[in-house]
Formats: sequence, C-alpha cells, structure tokens
Amino acid sequence: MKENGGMVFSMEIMLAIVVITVIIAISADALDISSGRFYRISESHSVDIIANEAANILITTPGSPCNWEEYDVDTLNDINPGLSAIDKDKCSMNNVLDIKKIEKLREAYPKLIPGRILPLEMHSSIILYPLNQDLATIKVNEVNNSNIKEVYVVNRTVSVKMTTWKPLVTINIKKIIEEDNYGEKCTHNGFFSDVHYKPDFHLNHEGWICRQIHITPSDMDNYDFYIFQEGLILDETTFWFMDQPDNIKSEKHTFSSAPICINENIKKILDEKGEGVIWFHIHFPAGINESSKVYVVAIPRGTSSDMLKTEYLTPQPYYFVLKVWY
Amino acid sequence: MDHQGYVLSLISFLLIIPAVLMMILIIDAGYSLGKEESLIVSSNQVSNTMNDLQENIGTLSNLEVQKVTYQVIETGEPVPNSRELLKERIQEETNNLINKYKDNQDLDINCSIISVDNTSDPFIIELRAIIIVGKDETVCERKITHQISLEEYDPPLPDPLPFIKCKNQGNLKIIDGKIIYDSSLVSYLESRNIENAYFYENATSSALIRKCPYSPYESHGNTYLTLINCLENGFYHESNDGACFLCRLEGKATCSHRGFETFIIPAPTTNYNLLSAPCSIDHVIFDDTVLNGTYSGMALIYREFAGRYYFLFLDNGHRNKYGLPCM
Repeated sequence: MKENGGMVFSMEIMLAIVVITVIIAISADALDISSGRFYRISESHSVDIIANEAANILITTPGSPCNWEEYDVDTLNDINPGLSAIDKDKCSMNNVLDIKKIEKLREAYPKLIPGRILPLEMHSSIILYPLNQDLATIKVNEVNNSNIKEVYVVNRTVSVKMTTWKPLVTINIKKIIEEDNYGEKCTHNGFFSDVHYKPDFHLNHEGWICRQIHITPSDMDNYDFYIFQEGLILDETTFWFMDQPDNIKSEKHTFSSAPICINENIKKILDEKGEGVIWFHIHFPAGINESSKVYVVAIPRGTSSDMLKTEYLTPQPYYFVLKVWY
Repeated sequence: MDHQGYVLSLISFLLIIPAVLMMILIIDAGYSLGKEESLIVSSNQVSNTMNDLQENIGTLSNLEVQKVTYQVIETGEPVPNSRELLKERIQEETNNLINKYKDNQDLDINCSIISVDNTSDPFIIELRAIIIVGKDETVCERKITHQISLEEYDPPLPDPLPFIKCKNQGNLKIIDGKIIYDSSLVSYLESRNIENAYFYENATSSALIRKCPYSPYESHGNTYLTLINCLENGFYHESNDGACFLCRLEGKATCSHRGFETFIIPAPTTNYNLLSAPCSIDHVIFDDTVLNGTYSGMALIYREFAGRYYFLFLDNGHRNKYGLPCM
C-alpha cells in the first residue's frame, strides 16, 4: 500500500520551508524598516506642519481678542496670541505685524507660545531680521540652540508696523502734483494778514501749503511732536511756522536734516488752553524736488532718540524666522 | 503524480500576504498624508478668501456710496430709500465679486448684506454683512462691520441736498469746491413764499463735505477769525437738527438721526442796514416739510472790508452754538 504521509517530511519540503521562512523574515524586516522610515518622515513632516501652522497663525491672525496686547500679562489665560496688525474694521492687515503685539509676546513668551501655538514639549525661538540694515533686529525669544541636532526653521517675509506714532500732517509733493490737490485754505487770507498763495508746481511757482492739526490735552500729556523732512532744500527759501486763527503770526523757522521737536512751539501757541486747532504753514520755493516730503508726527513720550527715523513712519520689511525643536 | 508541487504553491501563496500588507500600509500612509495636506490647503484657501472678500466688500461699498451721490447730484433726483438702495447695490456688486471667486476656485461662498445705516457719528455710515465661505468639510462664517467714513474720501464727497432742492430753479455753479447759487436759491425760497429771500442772491455754500476741526464750536466766536476760516473752507458741523448724509440723498433737510449742517453765506453787500432774513444754515433754508421750517435770523456782520459787509443771518440758538453774540 502506498503511504503519502512521508512526503511532508521530505528534504525538498524542508528546503522549501527554509527558503520561504527566510523570505518571510526578510519581508518582515523590510516592513519594520519601512514602518520606521514612515514614522520618522511622518514625525518630521508633522513637526514641519506644526512649525508652518504656528508661523501662519502668528503672522496672519491678530489673536483673540484682537486687542490682546492691551491686557496685563497676569490675565493672559484665555487669549490666543496673533501678531497681525488690524485696520479700523478689525480686519487683519495682510502680512503686516504690529510692534505692540510683538513686544507683548516678547514679554510673556513662556506663557503664550507653549501649549497654545506650539506643543508644550516643543522649544522655539522667534527673531525678526530687518532688510534695512539701519534698523535693529527684533528678538522675541532667543535661545541658544547650538547643541540641538534637529531644528525646523520657518522663514517668512513680513512687514512690521514699527510704531504707534500719530502722523498729524503728511505733505507728499509728488502726490500733490499728481492730484492737483493743495488742501484747505488757511487763515492767511489777505484780510488781516498776508496771503498764503498756493504754489503751482507745474508752472514752477513758489507758494504755501498749509495744514491744520487738532491738539487735545491728552495729546499734550502723552506725546512729543516732531517735524521730519525728506528731500527739502535746507536754506531760507523753505521755512515753516505755526499759528492759530485768533493769533495770526508771520515767522520763519528753517528745516534741518534731523527731526525738529516742536513741543515748546505748540505749548506757546496753545498757552493755558492746552487744546486747539493749530495751522502749520510751509513755504516752498520754486523748483522744489518732487520727492520732497514733510511730516508732523505725534510720538509717544519716552521714545528714544535713535528711533526718530522716517523709516518708522511706514511698515518695514523683516524676515520672520521661527525655529522649533524637541 | 508528484504532490510536492501543491505544498510549494500553498506556501508561495502565503508569501503574497506580507506583500499585500506592505501595499496596504503604503497606500494608507499616502492617503493619510494626502488628506492632511488637502485639509490644510482647503483651510488656507477658505481663510484667505474670507479675508480678501472682507477687504473687497469694504472697498466696493465706499465706491457705491460715491456713485449714488454723484448720480443724485447729476440728476437732481432724490432717491426714495437711500439705505435700501445702497444695500441692494452693494449686494449686487458683492454677488458679481463672489462669482469671480467661484469661477477661479472651487468654493461655496455666500455674502448677505444685512444693513447700511447711520452711526452716532454723522460722518460715518456703517455696513453690516455676513460672509460664509466653505470648501469640502471646512466652513468659515464671519459677521463683518465696515465703517464708511465721509472724511476719508479724497476728494471729499459732495453734499447732494442743494442740488436736489434747487433742481428746477436754475443752474448751480461749482467753483473751487464752492456752490454759487446765482438766482436759484432766491427762486427756490420765493417759490415757498419765504420773506426777504433776495438777500441770498449770489449766495455761496460748500459743495464738499468736510468736517470742521474747530471744536468746541463756541471757539468760532473768538474774534471771528475762526468763523471766517470756517466759512472760507465751508466746513460741516454736527447737528441734531440737520439731516444725516443718507437722508440728504433722499432730499431731506432734517431727520431724526444725528446729522450735520453748514452755513449758506449771503454775498457781501455795501448796505449796512440789514434786516432779518432766512437763517443762514442749510437745514433751515431747505426745510420745506413744515410751515415754519425756514425761520428767520438777525443779521450778524462778521467782517467789513473795502466798504463791503460780510454777514450771516442767525437765530439765537445758532449764535449760542457757535459762540457768537446773541440778540
């Protein structure tokens, strides 16, 4: 009688089982290696995503509530930080950051970032590098990360609204020429004083550009007032003075390359009232440079003198560099 | 027959299992990563579209207010309901904008303009809307409020009221931001049997709405120099009696909302003996809704130059308001 049971235990079958086992073992090992690779890719991709999303949240959202920077550091438990500046409609300004929010974040970084924008166990640093080398680097949170093996970096270009200055007067000669709009009539109308004829830059005629500013007692207490100029001829043909409708004057003050503080001029004009409308008169000569600009700006008291630059009147470009690591 | 082949083929079949497992693993990882990325992209798209739309609605609403104003001035025809008209026009423009977004991107967008109405500041109109943007599972809804400031228009918006009231009375000339009425204002007042209307021959008033910076308003009476500068620039002053901007588009001189007023300045004269005449305030002159809407004021000479007298007719209420001497 034939017996088939022995066929299972033949040498060929044993050999086949060994080969199959080796193949399965290699497959399992390869699977394990692949899983490990996927896990690492996923993890780094995940950290990459976290870093990018953190940068997105900080750059594109104003935070919640949108005026969170006005709150005391100790009451910052229910807020979510965001650095985006907002306009008067509380709409986020595209890629423009607010310096007040940046400074608040610097003050309360350990409270605001870990656990809210980034996981608790993650470390991070944020530094803003200016494109204009005359401006200072803004270090929000600087950490020495030289010993760390893997750092994920997000680099975005943003604009930073550098100051809380209040521009009271902005005279842009090029804009005036393009729009042919010289502004309102001042108090020097020929009846009680000389006439301030408007210039005609098309026909190269000299003249006056006058603007009114309204100063309140709160402005006098909290701000210093400066005149900035760009591109003006610094001689006696270009000059300015200030007066009020009820106190018409005729003076000559020249401009300078450095900002001019006019606190005393304003105090003298407003006297005890501490409030009122002041007319700011500027005489421009014929042949003025089209790129000339004049600003009268209210600057928060206590601002250091090295901050007194016209660059701070407009948002400046910076590199926003966020580094994260475990 | 050789049975070895069956055992080998059975075990070979078992080899397929790890291969299939690996394939499932790779596909699943790829799918998860892809889904994650897709969610992030959708979320960014929705967020960016929402911000973009909010900004654009602000811009086009400012533009529509300007268009309606110029249309009223050109035709001299008041609009029946300025709030509803502006709401409809802004909604139409918004729908056109949304269609452009939909053409370029696969998004569900809906924007409803809720209202266009006054605020406590007569120089600000407020627009309210709800915007909903959605893609796949990501949906964002936002209630927006946009403030249309009359002070931010450059050049300033013109005042529609004089053009509506004097429509069939003659042509109004606009020179250097001022309306010169010629005989049109006299014709308008005489058509309503208002006495002493002749004082307003060649009167002028401001064509453009600019807020008066001289506050408090009593400071206008300090030596009259502030008043003179205010009249030269044709500034507008907040007023509970004067119509708001939206009601001015409807041809109303007064309304229940917080509004503004400006002076209508008679031409200077060599005649010193001035009587009373319609009060030189626009909402008084143009108030034809009630019997005594246009009341009189006494002459106030604020300047004398080269034999000519510059004057206004003001009642005591307005004299008090602007710090001018009362009768």
